[in-house]
Amino acid sequence: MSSIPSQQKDGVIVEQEPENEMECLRRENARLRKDKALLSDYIRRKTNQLLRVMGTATLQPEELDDATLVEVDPIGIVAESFQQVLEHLQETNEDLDEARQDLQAVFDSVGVGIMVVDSDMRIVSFNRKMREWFAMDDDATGKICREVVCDGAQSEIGCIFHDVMASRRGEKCGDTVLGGRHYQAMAAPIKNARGEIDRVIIVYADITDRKRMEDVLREAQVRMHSIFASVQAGIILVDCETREIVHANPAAETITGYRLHDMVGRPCQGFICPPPKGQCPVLDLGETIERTETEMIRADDRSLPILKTIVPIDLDGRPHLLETFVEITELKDMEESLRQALTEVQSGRERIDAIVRSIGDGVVVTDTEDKVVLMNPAAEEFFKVSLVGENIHEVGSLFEDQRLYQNLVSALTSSETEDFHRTSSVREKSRVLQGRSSVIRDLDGRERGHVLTLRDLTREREVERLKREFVSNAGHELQTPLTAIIGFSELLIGQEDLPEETRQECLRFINEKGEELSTIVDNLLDINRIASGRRLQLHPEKCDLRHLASEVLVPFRSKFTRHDFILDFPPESLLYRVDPQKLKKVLESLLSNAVKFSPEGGKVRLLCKRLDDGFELSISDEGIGMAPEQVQRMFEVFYRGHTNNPAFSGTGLGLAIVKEMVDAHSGKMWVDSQPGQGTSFHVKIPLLDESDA
Amino acid sequence: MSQELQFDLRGQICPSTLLTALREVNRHRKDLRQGSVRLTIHTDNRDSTATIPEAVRNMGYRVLVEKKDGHYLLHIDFPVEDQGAGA
Repeated sequence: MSSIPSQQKDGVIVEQEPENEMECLRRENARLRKDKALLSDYIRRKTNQLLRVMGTATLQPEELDDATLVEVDPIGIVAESFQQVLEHLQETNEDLDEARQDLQAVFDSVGVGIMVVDSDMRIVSFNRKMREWFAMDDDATGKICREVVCDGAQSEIGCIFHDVMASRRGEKCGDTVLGGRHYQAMAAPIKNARGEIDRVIIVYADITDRKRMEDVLREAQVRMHSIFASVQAGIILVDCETREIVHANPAAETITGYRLHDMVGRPCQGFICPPPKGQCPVLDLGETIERTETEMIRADDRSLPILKTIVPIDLDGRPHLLETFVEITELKDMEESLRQALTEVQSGRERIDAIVRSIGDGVVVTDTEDKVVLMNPAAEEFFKVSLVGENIHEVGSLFEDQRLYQNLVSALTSSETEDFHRTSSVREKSRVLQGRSSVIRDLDGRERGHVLTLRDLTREREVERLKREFVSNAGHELQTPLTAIIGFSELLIGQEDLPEETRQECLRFINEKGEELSTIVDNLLDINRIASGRRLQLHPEKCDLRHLASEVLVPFRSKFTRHDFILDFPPESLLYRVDPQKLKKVLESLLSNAVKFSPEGGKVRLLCKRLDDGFELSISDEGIGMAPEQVQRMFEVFYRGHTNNPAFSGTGLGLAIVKEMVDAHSGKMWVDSQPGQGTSFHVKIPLLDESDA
Repeated sequence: MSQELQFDLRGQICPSTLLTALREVNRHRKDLRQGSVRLTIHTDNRDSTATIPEAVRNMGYRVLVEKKDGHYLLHIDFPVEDQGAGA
């Protein structure tokens, strides 16, 4: 730097002549100092500029002199630091950009609509839900949100944007209907550093489904309340924890006689549960559901029969008991009436059943489908099969006798009266049955089935046969003595010169045959009296049985001299009150039978035994005896056991009359007999009171 | 474990302290950013406890100021994510 331009003028540097060298050096030095100062100032300014950009304090001249300033190269240091600041800013921007993208993703994917508007209500940004719900596209940006979202319909009143602008804080709008859907809107202001509202962020949540659910719930609640109020059963709701009544319906008020405010808050025990029970069936006794008939004490202390049901339920997250009850007074009365009616019906049915079961006639009842609904034991005995529950057309295989089965089917399907014979198996006797059927009709005349009654006519037919035999037989029995009487009397009339001895003989025969006739006539009269239902009249008197028996035996011993009559009586006294005439007849008849059916020379034994309560007479023979069947029927009127043998004549009345006379003494009579083994008749007569007559 | 480099700048006033601190940060920039080095500046200049952290934080570093034995310790390191995660 040998020359220094002093001044510039029109682009030409004019060299000035130095006054002297010192002056020149001084000026040069001054210029250099000035340049250095300019340089320091420049460095200081640039350094401060960079420091300010970096956001830190600037250099102070007193803190750093120029020499140090040049030495430390502050620009280099600060520039390098500034480069790091820039790099850091770049990294921060990248992080911010990433965060913005994350935020945008959340913004778009969140389940609510988000929209940002500026202070002029113009849309700044919005998310995907807003596009979806309000058909917003990119053109919506910059438009007034009311025209896009609210379709211009929303006035300032009720506009959440205006609310936020007015209140300058977050606002909430309960239910906004937009495009037929319900939204809940929330908005908040975004303020700048000066506290002015730059943006308003509005968030929409679609609550349409929730609203619908709420509506459904509200309707259900209304319905429930309506049912609760109108149902005729009493309903009481009890809180399980406090055991207090929390609600009751009008029917509960009516039935219990308490008003709602009397019940609510009171312990449930004592209202519909009888106090003595003491324990809740559900809460204390562990029953899941209780359903019982019980009695409730009303507010007016009147006892009321109720049917109650207790069911545990959860209500508002708390366990409750739902107690329902209905008054059953009428039901109980009806139940009692029904029970009585049923008892009567049952009793009547049992009575009819007993009658039907016990009558001798068979009864078979069928329904309209020809199924047997009733068959009494007599009918089962007739057919040897039970047909109850069976269809009458399907039981043919159960019958041995197909003719009988056809008779049965025919009788049960027509209303004609029919007689049919039961042609029984070889083991049984032929029986005569009469079946009579008729249609069963109800009160309206509708056919309900058939009833068949079966009568066993076997015995009637047998009696008729026996009667016919009797008439023939009795004629013969009467004819025999009459013939003898007539013959001997003609002899006496026609021959006057008969020797006196012969005359006496004839007269004795006539008398004897007359006695036989008298006996026969007596028997006929007795039988006639028995048949007419008149009881034999007893004439008891104290008799010595030994004497009585001896008297009876006299004529037998004289008449049947070939028979051996043995009187086997105990030695002690045998004084008893009996009707002597009737007891004589009994003995005569039994002795007569013994003689009749015994061979000549046979023993006929008359035994008497004393008993504590009377006596027993037995007449035994060594005769032909009787078969069991004959024994069974021997006391029947007109029955004759040995009709095949003409030697054993008789009327078939003797034993029937004997039996009647023993019965008149309140006695019993039985027989031991076997064919060919003889017969023993036993007669037991009890002690007679004085009153027996 | 990172290496700790100590710089005793006591007796210096700001902005000499600031420039020294920036120079050391620049010098160890690579190691700091890798997390292998951390710096501890000792200073008794109160202003430096504001200017150094302000400048260094703008550069992306983390600064913790501690007062100890009558002077200040400025711990400077780089917030490496892995370090934080492992702590």
